[in-house]
Amino acid sequence: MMAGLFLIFFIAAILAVMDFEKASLSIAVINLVLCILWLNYHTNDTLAILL
Amino acid sequence: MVNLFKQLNALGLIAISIIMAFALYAQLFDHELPCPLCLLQRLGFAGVMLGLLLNALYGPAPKYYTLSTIFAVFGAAAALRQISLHVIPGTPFYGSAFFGLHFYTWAFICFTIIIVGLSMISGFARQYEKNLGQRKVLFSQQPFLTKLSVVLALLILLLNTVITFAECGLHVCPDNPTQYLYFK
Repeated sequence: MMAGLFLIFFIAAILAVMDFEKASLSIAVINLVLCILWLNYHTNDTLAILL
Repeated sequence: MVNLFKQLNALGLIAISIIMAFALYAQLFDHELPCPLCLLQRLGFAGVMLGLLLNALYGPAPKYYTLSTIFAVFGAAAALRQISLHVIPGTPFYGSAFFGLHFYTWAFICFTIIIVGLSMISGFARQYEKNLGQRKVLFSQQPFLTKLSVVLALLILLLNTVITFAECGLHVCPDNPTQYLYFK
């Protein structure tokens, strides 16, 4: 699953090179949310405790 | 001024690519398989790289600096979490040390430097001037340093994708990995 997050970054970088700036930035923001969810998963629901 | 900051971002991109390349070297040649928290730190570096890449390609913009900074904070949080797991006396460390410090400690130091560096460099207002007209520069017309940094970053991201897939596949990565899932 984590390979997918790297793949999304790769796709975002390719889109940036191909001049799709907005799409690249949007994908990066979506990936940030996914990364935070994964961090939450691997740190025993720290987010749930904080919230 | 815009070009100077574009080049600075390209240099930063190369620097982080070198950090990621070193992590890949340790993984492939010293058999230091990354744990899930280590991979999250790498994702933090990858996010910082994407922000710098956008700065290098399109010219500096506050939103790109923000993206990089948020990913640096994310990576620092993951690194700090791992440090806190191993700082308790009697708790075994993860991985081998490099110059006396473990990789997750080095990652935290790097993220801290990145956050401070980005905060300082993004404060120079003149880099945002006259930048609107410079949008949509073709990749082939970019300076050599930008091209080099972007190609290096793409290569590093692709390698990380492949090697992480080889380690974990489509499953959740094991807490203490000892071997790859798809190749020996």
